[in-house]
Amino acid sequence: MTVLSIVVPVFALIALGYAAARFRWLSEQAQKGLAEFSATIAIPALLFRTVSSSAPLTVSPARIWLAFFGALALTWLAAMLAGRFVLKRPVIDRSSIAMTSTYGNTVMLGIPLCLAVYGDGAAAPIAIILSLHTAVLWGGATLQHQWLASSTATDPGSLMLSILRDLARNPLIMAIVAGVLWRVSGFGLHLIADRTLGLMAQAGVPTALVALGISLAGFAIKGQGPTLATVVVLKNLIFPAIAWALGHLLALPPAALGVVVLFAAMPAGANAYLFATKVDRAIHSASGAVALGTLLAVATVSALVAVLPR
Amino acid sequence: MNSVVSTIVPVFGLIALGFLAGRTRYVGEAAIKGLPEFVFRIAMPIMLFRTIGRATMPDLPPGRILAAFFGAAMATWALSAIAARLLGRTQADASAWGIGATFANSVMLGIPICLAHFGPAAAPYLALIVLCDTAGLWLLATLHLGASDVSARGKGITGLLGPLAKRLITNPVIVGCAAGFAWQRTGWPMPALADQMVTMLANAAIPGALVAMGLALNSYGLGGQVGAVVVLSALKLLVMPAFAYGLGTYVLELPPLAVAVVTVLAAMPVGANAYLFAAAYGRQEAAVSGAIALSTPLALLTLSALLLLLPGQP
Repeated sequence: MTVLSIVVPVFALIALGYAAARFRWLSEQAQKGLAEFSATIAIPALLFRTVSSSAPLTVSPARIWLAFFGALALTWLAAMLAGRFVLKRPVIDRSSIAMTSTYGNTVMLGIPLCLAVYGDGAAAPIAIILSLHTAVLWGGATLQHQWLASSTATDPGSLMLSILRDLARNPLIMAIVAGVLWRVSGFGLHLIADRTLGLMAQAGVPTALVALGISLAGFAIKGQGPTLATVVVLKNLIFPAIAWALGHLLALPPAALGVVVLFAAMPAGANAYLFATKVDRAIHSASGAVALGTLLAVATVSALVAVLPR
Repeated sequence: MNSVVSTIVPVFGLIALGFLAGRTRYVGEAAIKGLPEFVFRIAMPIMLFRTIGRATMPDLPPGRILAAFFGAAMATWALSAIAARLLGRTQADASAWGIGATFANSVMLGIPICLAHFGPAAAPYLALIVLCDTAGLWLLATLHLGASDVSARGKGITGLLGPLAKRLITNPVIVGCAAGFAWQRTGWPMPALADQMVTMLANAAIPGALVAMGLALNSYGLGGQVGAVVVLSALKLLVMPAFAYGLGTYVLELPPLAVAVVTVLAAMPVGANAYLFAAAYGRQEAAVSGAIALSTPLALLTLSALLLLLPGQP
């Protein structure tokens, strides 16, 4: 498959969702409802199905985690340093800036892209990264922000507990866990059960992309120029570059390396914006990073898909 | 046998899943209202456009296919009017009975089942009927109501038909079908990249429609009107397909695939448009709503039996 035939349909569906929201072809309710259907029903069905039938892993999860989260930690550090020495932002802003530099849109854009490039071989690495992604980023950023703000609003133990509670109710995580358990059990899927699940799963990718496009209509390219440029460069270029280097050092096989790098290259997503609004810091830059980052991702992601080993 | 099970179970499995997701409030109000909007305004029209745009048109006058479907609908309609009279309904109420007994759920259920079971060869027949059934049956119901209800007649013929025309021209599903036929006529191939994008989007249409239908079922209650509900369901699930099969096979002598598709479409449970008509004119809403709620789960049995019995299958 050529790069164009992978990348164009993906971004075209995002553009279609954006246009549908902009020109009010879909009502507010449909915009919210589609995202809900995608995230709570269709994508979980897709994850369960691909994970439960995925080929056995040839690489240990630890190496995938090390490559992805190692690169994430280094990018985070770079964002903190840039916030201090280049942007000269107050210390309290920096965790929000680092979050926007590292929290990519792995679910709505990452899953469709990785499956389009690597097929079902991407399922295992996707599940391995996603299983820790939210907990590590959201937990880490919240703790750091409290520390920077010298606030003791919540103690780390109860914070982690509440994050774990949220995760246990998160349909994506449940689908991954159920898929892994099902695969380990060796039951296999009955032909008809597999067809039913397959029918549901085929809605996952298109609904995620259209819903992502719809959500983009709520963001605008704004915020302070230097901050915006820094987070977009860190997110779209530096994070994937470090991830590739680490993945190469750890000798990841092509599909695992590809998923690690593409996930690292995903533009900032709505969750980064959510964090910025929650801590009330660098909100405009976060909104701008989602809009500009996704726009630029057309180029950065195409380039990566062209050069990554398959 | 196996092919029937593997067609019917995934379809009703997704409907059941949607029903449960709504019932247990696993998804919220936005998804219940919003998902059908996405399906009918984007995914389904594009899916129909693509399927029809690349279909091979059968060498058969469309009029004969429509005659089988609408002939069956009119015969069933007449029986429903008699039943309405016997059960003490007015002639005006009988217009809602007529549409309740004949309006098949062709889009949400008929398209998924026929495409899964008969393959893309069924698409032209499906599209032809989907293109015409809303218009034809809604028109029939409107005329029936207008002829029997003085207050409705007061609005004049344009007052009654204006909303119908608007409903059709602005219906994206109908526009998608029409565009598909037009594209097919041109004979142009679909550019590869556009086709890939359209295919991706089309993938969401059928699962989306089935889950949306399951979600919507929560809002139709099996009200107190047991007699009316049972009569309408029986007419829709049993009588109308029997008429369609008889007309298609013995009177119009259609080829087997055409008979099969028309019969299966005629056997679909009562569709939401029938309720929209009943609600729009305040006639027999409870009966029609109950008929949707009862005929949909029963269709699991009647459709399985029909697909097993129908001759001339792939």
